[in-house]
Amino acid sequence: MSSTVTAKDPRYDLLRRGRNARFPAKDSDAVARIEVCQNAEDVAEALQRIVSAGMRPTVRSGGHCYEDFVVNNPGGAIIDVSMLNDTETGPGGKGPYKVGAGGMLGSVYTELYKKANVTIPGGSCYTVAAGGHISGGGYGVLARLQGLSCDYVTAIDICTVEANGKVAKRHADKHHDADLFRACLGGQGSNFGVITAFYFDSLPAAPQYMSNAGVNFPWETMTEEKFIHIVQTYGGYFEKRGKDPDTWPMFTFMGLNRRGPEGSRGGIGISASMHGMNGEPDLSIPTEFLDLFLKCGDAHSDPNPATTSHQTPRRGDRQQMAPCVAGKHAFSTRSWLDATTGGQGAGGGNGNTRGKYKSCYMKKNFTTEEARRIYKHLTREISGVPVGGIIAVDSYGGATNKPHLANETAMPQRASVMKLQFQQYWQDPAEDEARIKFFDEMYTDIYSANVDAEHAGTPFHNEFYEGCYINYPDVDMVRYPFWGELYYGTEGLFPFLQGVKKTYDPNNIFHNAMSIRPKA
Amino acid sequence: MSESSLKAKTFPMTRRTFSASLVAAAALSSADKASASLTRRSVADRFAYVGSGEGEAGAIHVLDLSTSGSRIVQTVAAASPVHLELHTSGSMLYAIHAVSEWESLPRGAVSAYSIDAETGHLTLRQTQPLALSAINPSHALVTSNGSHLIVAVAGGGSYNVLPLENNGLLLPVSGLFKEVGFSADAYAGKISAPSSLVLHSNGRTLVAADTGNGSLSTFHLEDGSLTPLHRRRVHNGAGPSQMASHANSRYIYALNSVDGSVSVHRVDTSRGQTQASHQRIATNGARTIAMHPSGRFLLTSNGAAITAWKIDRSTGRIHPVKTLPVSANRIAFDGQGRTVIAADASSGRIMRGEFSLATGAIGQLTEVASLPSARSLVLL
Repeated sequence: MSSTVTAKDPRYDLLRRGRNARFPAKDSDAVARIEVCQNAEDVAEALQRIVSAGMRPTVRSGGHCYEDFVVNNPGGAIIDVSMLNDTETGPGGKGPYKVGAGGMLGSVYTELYKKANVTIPGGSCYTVAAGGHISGGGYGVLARLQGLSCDYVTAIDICTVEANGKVAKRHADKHHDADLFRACLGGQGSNFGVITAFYFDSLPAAPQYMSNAGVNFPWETMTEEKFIHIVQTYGGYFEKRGKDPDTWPMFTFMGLNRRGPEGSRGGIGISASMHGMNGEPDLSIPTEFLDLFLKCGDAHSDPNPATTSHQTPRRGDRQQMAPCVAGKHAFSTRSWLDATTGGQGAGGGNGNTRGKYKSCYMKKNFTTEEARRIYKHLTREISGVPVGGIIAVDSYGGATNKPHLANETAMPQRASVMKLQFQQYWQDPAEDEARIKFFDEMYTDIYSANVDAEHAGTPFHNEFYEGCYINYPDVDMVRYPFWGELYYGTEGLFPFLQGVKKTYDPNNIFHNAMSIRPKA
Repeated sequence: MSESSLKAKTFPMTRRTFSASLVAAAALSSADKASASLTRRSVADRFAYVGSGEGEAGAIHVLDLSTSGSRIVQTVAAASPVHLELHTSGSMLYAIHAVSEWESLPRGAVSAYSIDAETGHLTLRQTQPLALSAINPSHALVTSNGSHLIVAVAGGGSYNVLPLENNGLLLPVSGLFKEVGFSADAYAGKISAPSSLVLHSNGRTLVAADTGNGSLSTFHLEDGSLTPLHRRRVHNGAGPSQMASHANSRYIYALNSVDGSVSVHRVDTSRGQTQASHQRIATNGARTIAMHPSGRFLLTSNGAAITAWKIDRSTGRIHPVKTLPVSANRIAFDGQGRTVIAADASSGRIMRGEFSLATGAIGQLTEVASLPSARSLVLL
């Protein structure tokens, strides 16, 4: 039986919150209780009690939801599946593999590596858990080489609620509840029920090594022209050269940090991480990539770059960066497992940090006007927003861009070459309004440069963009009547998901501000 | 037939087709306690409030019935006002907005209007959204002590409870109950669509009709919380959509929209449930129902005629006594039961007639107003 945590329990104050300190925004938004489950039977039983009591359930695996979809549930109940964290393999380390919905990515990677020398090409944030991550798509530094996490799922265990209010435990795959199965491969399981486990018949081999190096451009010598040159160098590579398969083992990250106060350190950082599947990686590919930035002027070699937006350069061994020399970048090589999980990737905020996020899929290079607008917003003074903010530009494409997978999963974005995550973190609640307003203004302006008037303000699907990523939800987008298409594409996926919703959650038990809404 | 003119128009009026629901007048019980901060009205049955239209074309019209040529004295914009409900003091009007989105989120909303004691004019004080997923609300009532507004949410399959401040203003939703379907066959089961509410005179037992899952549910109401007590399937193919409570609270009359019947159910508050109907009678497609304040008559209307049914005091059973051929989809009694207001949804005609307590006949029926449409009605 699940452990029920109510307001009288000393655990309540922690467990009623997630990792974004903004939520719940007020005490009256908080749940009445949290059901901490240890296995799938607990989940089914707790869910039945909640539904029978007329309460609204929300589901938490890792607690990293960017919006208030889990913890803003007045008088409702959170079903916490974080304890469903077993990772299992078949005999001899072969498939099928089972990953509990509460499995944290760092632990999952470690277990799969040690037990079977395989991995899931998932995200870089160690404490994100499988439930929300994989069912919303799940991409990471291996996406270009190996695809998305959801592309490998072959079955899921999920509890749904029938029309008559009875909980049903389902094992969905291509042959059983096939539509529900597909919907949970990118359409977010929390739209339809409570996922308890994922199954994979096979998984890709884990890399042996990862080498990375970077370049850095300080703000002190930055100009608009130079900034545009840098971002277009980055984007131009992935629009063209990055489509070649020999580049797919490489993952890159460009951190467009907001300019800090005069005299502060900081700049635009670009890192290239190359994976070696059998031995140390071939560094010619990332060297070729990083060399491109020398012509941007004033490039500095960064031997310890952040490989993702969740990672900060290692302190203690920070050294003054030397000017870049063509063909000679300071790569550091580590075992892949250490590079992936070793004290890193705990990003996404903690209980004291407030955050706001936005996203964009890019199919092409940055246009000059787009880059100019980004520069404008990263450098302008904003009242009430002292510092902070980053646009993380991840390399994308490669193995993620298999068109047939758009029809086999609920991830329609299969033509993009870069994926952007706008992130902002702060501590003081008094800054909420100003920071959120700044982000909204910046995003609206940037995505009005290359978008038609009807969809201006969003990266709506066109020759440049493929919309937004549902695992980076942004509730600002619901003000647009086409928000469903923004996240789920224009080829009929959203109506499909509405149909799945009607079949498997006809009472709309599972809902939030951006859940699949019943057809009118 | 009196001419009516629109005064104090606040927006261009358009004629629109309307759909369903106009609520029976809420008779004010003399035992109701008014809020200390809301002045109890002394002049009753002078004003009628009629909700019309859908979406942005929705409106509430204020009719002054005090003069022989009753007139529309005000029209205020109100999105899809599917139901109008008065605070027990009569000084605040609540409009239930049957929308699927409010401020971009999937929810309905409720607005509170203060009522001018002299002119009956409405002033919008606030709009409060319902809980997430509480879309297309259908009905509401104010608890007898004026402390809460309970909303039946057809689209969202739920009930929302909103506390009321001493001045009648709405506080955010403080309680909700999410309903589910009621069928042995899960895949073919109907989902919930709560459509009508009645509060027992004890102030604690709430009865709800659910058109979707075909049931009458009872809840215990305390401190703004709803605790389910019992749910009873009416009968196959019923689809209860409206209810009227006998003045003695012993019987509930459920209008079943699917098969057009009225079913009579005893209310057993000791067990917290309605009983299986002891009478089910065909009504030739009735679409609305209204209880006379005396509890001696029930009116139904099928759009072509209004039928008066006499109620047996000891059994609650009804039998037809009078029929008046008039096009009306909504009917309501004034507080004394001497006047009947009837509204025709499609033509927007609002008519007033005199009701005979002796025979159940409606006489002297005259048109008092003509509106673009009419979907909700309450008399003050």
